[in-house]
Order: sequence, then structure tokens, then C-alpha cells
Amino acid sequence: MSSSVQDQIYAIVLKYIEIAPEDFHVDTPLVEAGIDSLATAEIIFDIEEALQIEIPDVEDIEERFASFRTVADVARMVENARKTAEVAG
Amino acid sequence: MTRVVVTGYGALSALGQDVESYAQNLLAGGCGIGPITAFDSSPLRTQIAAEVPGYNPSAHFSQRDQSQIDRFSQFAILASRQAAVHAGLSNDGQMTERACVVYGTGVGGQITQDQNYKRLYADGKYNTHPFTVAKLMPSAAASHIGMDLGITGPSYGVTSACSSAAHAIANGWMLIRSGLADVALVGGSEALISLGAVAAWESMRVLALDTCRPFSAKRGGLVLGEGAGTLVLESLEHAQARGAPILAELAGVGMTSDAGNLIRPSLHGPVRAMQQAIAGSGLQAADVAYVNAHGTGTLQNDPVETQAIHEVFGEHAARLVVSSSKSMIGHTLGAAGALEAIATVVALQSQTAPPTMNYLAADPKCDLDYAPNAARPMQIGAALSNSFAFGGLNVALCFRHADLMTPLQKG
Repeated sequence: MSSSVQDQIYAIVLKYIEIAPEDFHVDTPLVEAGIDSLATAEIIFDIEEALQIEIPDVEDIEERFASFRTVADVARMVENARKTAEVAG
Repeated sequence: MTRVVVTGYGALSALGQDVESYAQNLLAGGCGIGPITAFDSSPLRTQIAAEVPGYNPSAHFSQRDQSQIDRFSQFAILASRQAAVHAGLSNDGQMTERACVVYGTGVGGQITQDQNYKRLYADGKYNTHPFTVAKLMPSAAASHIGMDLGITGPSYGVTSACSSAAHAIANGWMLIRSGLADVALVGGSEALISLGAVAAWESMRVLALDTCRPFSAKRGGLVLGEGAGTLVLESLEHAQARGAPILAELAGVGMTSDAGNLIRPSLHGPVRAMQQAIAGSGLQAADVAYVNAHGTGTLQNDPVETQAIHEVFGEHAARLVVSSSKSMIGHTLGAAGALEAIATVVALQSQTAPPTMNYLAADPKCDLDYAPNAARPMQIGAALSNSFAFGGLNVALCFRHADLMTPLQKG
């Protein structure tokens, strides 16, 4: 996994957390950091803009929210989305 | 009948980011019109606007808040915070269900709309920022003010183009008089210095290319401005009970519509609005000393407004001072009625009529005393603030000095 992707995502999510930045790590559950579903929508938007990728939509909003458990999870998902795009590309 | 007084105000405009600089620069004849900095205006003919100078959202709002709050709501929040502080109101119990917010805007989140339309139509990105809807809705300012100050009474947005804020003020006045609220945060905000909005205004051929010269010969039109103004209105009883400073009385309002032309100004609608405001105040026309005019600086508005003032005031028109703050802050559209109502209260407090700046020479069709290029110290017992909107929607607000005329009595 490219650590720079994870770093970039970490920096984006940092904008939305409602806990002290020093308490927030790549494996901190986003829910515990005060990230709700609306903030998740904003984070997806920011990641798509910053990394020039499209994060595939998941019909079930609860399921989409669940796939955004931690920064590390999101980074893995972004890496997968990129690989899928390359294969398709 | 419940009397309604002004106990505070706040403003962001081309004359500064706080109400002190606004009042000082109004009386000193400052002009906030300058080159457009918000976007690259080089493809347009119009190169000037009246922007809030040096506005830095990060000085007031977190990154997260900035992504959720359009510039027009940011201005509204900041002007309202100032107004609440000015009125000595805090949100620890004083701003409750007995307080309300009525807030005007011409278009709402124009910049948000511009940015997201660009994504769709120009950049080929078929999504928008998740908060696009919540940022651009015209009622967002009212919601944000309420959330910021903890106001839980009736709150809503009001829209009537260039009269929006004046209608909002009149509405707050009505809510207090009806007994539905004791305190009303009222006013308006506009932030539309964007390619989309300036291009649209330019197409109407009403924008000045040099500067705004209301009532003057060689005037070239209006100059778009941005900003927000908030007044705290309060029942006299509530204000006196908490020992609040009473800055002026909003004694009467006049609201009419032309049912005529969407764009062309009429005589009769504005005349009736001014007459209603004066009569509703229990005053005679001769009691009014100063009129803060709508005074856009367009070829069409200024002579019609002049004629309307003649019709309302008769011989007394020659003794009035009439000035247009738009020569200094531009036309702030949905905020204009509030910024100019504040200018009218400042005139009453300072006993000085703010000037009409950039005045070159008399236009034979505009033959009143416009306090050209210099403020006019004078006795002002009562004053009008005029707002006349596209669509023929007219408001006149009549303010009285807090103690110069009949003393304010309880009840």
C-alpha cells in the first residue's frame, strides 16, 4: 500500500474530526472521531477531488458508512478502486 | 400598540468588516468601490465592484465550517454576532423562543451555485459538493444566525430582490408588534461577486464602468456590492426592562407593490410606501429631515425617486437632505435595505446626513439636496430609508431619534 495515499486521506479526514488531532490515528474508528454520514459524504468528495479518482457508490448508505471504518480502511478501498480502474482502463 | 426600537446593529461592507468602520467611513465619505478581486473579470466589460476588503474566512470559520457555509451566510453570521454584542444580548437565556430571525437575500448562495455549475457544465464533473443544496438555499443565512446565537423563535428568509432586507426588517417589526417575539434579528446579506452574477447584471446594461454616482449628471449605473447588515429590533418594554441602549425607534413601515413593470421603476408605488411609513409613524411629512434614498445611480431610478420624493413631501422636499449610501458601498441588493437602514440610524445618532459621493454635477431631473461629496451635520428628528426592488416591490422604513422628538414613554 502506498503510504502517501494513506497520508493524504489522513490529512483530509483530520479536517472533519471532532476529537483532538493527537488522539486521531489511521486505525481510530471514524465514528469515535465524531464522523457522521454527512461528513463521510464530504470526505468522499474531498478524496475524489484530491486523488482524481471515483469512489464507487454503494446503494446501501449504512453499508457505505461501514466501509469507512478507519482511515486505513478508506486507504485500502481507494487503492482497490485505483486497481479496478487500471484493469478497466 | 407595541413600540419597536433598535438596540444594536452590525455590518460588513466595502467600507469595512465591522460597524464602527462602517459608520466612520459613511460619515467621512469613504468609497469602497474598486477593481474586482473575487475572480478574473478581464473577459467582461465590468471591472469594478464593492467587495468586503481583506475578508479572510479562515479568521472566523474552521475549514469544515467554510465547506458548509456560503459566503453570504458567513457575512450574515458575522454581522449578527456584532449586532448581538452591540445590543448587549448574549445567548445564555436572552436569545430563546422569544427571539426571532428574519433575514433577506436577493439570490442566496450565488458563489456556491457558480462553482458547482462550473464543475458540471465546464469541467465535466458530474457531481457537486455534498453541501451544495444546504449552502445555496436563500434561508441558510437565517438558519445559521439562529444556530450561532441560540435563537429558537420564528425564523425564516425573505426575498424581494433589492428590497429583501427592508422587507425582513418590516417583518421583524410586525412579529414584535404582533406579540410573537420580543427581540428580532433582522437584516440581509448578499455575496454574488462571481462571473455568473456580474455577467448577468452586465447584460442588463445597468452597471457603471467607472464608479457609482447617484443623482449626478454623467452617472453610468449601479455598481454591485457585497456585505451584510443586521439590526436588533426589540419591543420598547423589553429593551427598557433589561436596560438596553435605545439607538432609534422604528416607528413605521410602508410596503407597496407596483403591479406594473418587472424592471422599470414606477412613481406611484414608492410614493405610497413613503406615505404609509410616515403616516404609520404618527408623523407629518414635514417631520422628516433626511431620506436615505434607494439611489442606485441608474439613469432610470434616480429621477423617478426624486419625483416620488417631491410628490410625498411637496414644498418640504426642498428642505430635505437625500443621500445614497450606494455611492460608497455599491448596490448590495439583498443586504442593501439593512446596510442603508443602519446608515439611517447612524444619521439619527450622529445628527449628520451621510453624503452622496462621486457626485460631479447637477442633473436637471434630480433637483434635491443630495449632500454631494460631504456629510451634512443637521438636526434629524425622523428619517426614511427607501428600498425599491426589481419587480416593483417597495419598502420605506421610518426611523425616529430615540429622544429628540416626543419622549419615548413606556407602553
